[in-house]
Amino acid sequence: MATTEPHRHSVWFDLQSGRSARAGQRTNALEASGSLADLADLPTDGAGRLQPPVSIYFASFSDGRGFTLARHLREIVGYRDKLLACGHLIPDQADYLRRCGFTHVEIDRITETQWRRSLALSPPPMQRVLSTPASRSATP
Amino acid sequence: MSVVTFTANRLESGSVVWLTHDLSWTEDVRLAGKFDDEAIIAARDIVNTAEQSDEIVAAYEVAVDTGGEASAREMIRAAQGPSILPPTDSRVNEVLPPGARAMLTVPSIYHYDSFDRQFVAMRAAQFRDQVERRLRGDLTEDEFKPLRLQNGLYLQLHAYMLRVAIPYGVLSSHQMRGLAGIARDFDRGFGHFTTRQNIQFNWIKLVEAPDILDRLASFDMHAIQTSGNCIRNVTSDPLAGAAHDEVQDPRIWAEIIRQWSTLHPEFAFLPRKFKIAISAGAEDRAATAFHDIGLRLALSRNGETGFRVFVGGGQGRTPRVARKLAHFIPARHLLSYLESIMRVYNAAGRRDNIYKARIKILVDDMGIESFGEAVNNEWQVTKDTTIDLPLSEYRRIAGYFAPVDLPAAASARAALARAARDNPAFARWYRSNVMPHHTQGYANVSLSLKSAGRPPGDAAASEMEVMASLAETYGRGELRVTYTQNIIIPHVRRDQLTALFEDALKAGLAGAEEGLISDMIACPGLDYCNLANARSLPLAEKIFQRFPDPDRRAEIGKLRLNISGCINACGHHHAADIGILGVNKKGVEHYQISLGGRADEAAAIGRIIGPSFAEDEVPAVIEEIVNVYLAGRERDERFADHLLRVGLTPFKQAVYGDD
Repeated sequence: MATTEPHRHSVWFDLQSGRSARAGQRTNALEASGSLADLADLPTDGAGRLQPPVSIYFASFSDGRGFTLARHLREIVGYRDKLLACGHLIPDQADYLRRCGFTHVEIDRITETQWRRSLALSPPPMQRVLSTPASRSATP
Repeated sequence: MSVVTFTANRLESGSVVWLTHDLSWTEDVRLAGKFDDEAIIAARDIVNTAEQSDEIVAAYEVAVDTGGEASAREMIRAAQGPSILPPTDSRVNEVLPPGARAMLTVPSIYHYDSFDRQFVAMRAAQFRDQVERRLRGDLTEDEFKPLRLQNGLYLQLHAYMLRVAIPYGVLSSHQMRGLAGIARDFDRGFGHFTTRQNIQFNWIKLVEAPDILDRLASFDMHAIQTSGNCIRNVTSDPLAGAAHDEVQDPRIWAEIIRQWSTLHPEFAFLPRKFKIAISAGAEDRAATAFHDIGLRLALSRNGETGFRVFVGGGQGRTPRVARKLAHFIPARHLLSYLESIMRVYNAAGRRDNIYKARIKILVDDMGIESFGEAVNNEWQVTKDTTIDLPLSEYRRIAGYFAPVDLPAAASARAALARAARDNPAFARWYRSNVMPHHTQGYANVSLSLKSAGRPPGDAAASEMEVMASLAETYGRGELRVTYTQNIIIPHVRRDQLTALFEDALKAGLAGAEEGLISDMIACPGLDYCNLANARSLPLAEKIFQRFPDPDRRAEIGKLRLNISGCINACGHHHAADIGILGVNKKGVEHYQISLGGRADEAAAIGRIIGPSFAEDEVPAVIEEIVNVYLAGRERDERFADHLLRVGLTPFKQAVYGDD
């Protein structure tokens, strides 16, 4: 899959600010089950950089591969722009997504309040000085 | 014509219910409706609706055997409780008056500060929100399940079960009293200490779980990641920091791993559960060879601390002894190295088949060489980043584990020898349950949770309080849970051993069983567990009764006998001199026996000796095996060494005859 269109009722929930914006843009889409090798299929600019925004699609919320893929994008590829999580995700994953380098998650508009609530309810990283490199690059 | 009943658990309480003929739910099995062909269709609709409206969970149909013989599982469900009595909370507990000997020293364990307290309080609040959403129907059972599992909450046979984390088996006497309070206020007055050095409570209601987490947080405990497909509670040597043979205290690194792995954002949805163990003794008392990652602390030639790293060990249906992945990883790079292993596993571990999802299968499939290369590739990215702890943070954590200040104690040898001569029970206990300590004049004492009539690892709330008192009176206010399901009090003055023994005896906690045939590991089995095929606890009792004479048990000597109620091997049957595995043979509980497993530095997986046995045959078979060993052993030959020397044949002949 190269690009995907957003769903009709979906919004992009900003994992930093907890606010949402209309989902209007096409994204360069990866599957959570995929790997960095799939990047070869995505369009790049003249300098070989990935064209933002990039999205990672989760077929199931319990498929944790998308979290590692996000960190690979941040730490190996050096992608620094918008990174969207979409597909089946639950609000309780908001902080995990953020800390793995996702900037946004595509959600159904009616769940927005719960996403904001879940983000606020998330405890800080238990290891007080450990912050994953990705979490610091989460703000593009 | 097929006839079925419908059974399920209530969502809120977890209690077992059956569908009646008038299509309502009852907790009285006698009112369970029997539905035949036409009625089944209508009943299924009712069941689906009840599940969708979140009244019940985990519904299933049970075929009613026209012969009238229900399966063991359904009989235990119908009885709404285990087939063996758990220990009774005496409520008037304390052999020793509480607080009479207020702790003079703060135990040398990790202590929460305001940051940690806020963390567990927030986590408890987060879980309260999740439970409320589940009860409202905002979360489906499929979505809620991983969330509750990552807070240690299972749905078992009769109710919910809550597994509380005891980090690497270390807890203060204050925390032990807190656990007793939970057993008394939210459960049925007892708890079960587990093979991962945790404790679990068997009669929990979902609606009360948030209150329990709040209570746990009030004494600096939680249930985070005691289940689920994530990094579980890290385990370690129960004698850590008190052992006579250790390189360094491994608890520092166990604590560092605990903090790193707790709510790790990348590894909360792994292909399958993940277990890490760490030990630093010459003797490996943490069974590191049977873990997804086993760490053995070592020093390099120039004295640098580091780890031998083993990967892909485990029990379950595909038992594996862990393979060596790295000979020496400097401790300062430990977290980035662990993170690299986790990434390879998270990205490449199988997710298509739950039985092939553990890291051991990935290591099998890739080969240890390629797996190691993949880890090293990841490590090039993660090494020398902020994943590894700065020295200041290492020092903060290590500071909690400063060596205990132990005043010089006079030799108690003469007095102990006299006591042993005068009291054979003390002599037996001293020989088996008193373990060496790094400082002269001190010992580590094991309080046995194995005795006639006690399910292995179970303790009543009142007994927990007694153990807390004993730790305050004779130790340093600190206790350890062993993976063999006993409790250790470290740092006991040898000249107080006789007094400790007398107090423990009054409380029924002075069994001299440590390491003996009676010191069985047993999982909860079909008496409690949803996954089990057979009961473990009644069989453990029958085997205990088969060897009623403590002198005979002592004469048999060190011999590990472990019982698992199913192939998941929670009872560590693969790693026992004598392993017993419960199987379901046409609806009847049977037990398969294996010999020659061990969990120490020379880890090995036991070999099955032949066809399985009915439960009532097993104790005699065990005795036959013991007799072969006793008749053939040379001087202090341990069972494992004897087996290596003579092979399985004499045992098979004794058990199955010559043909």
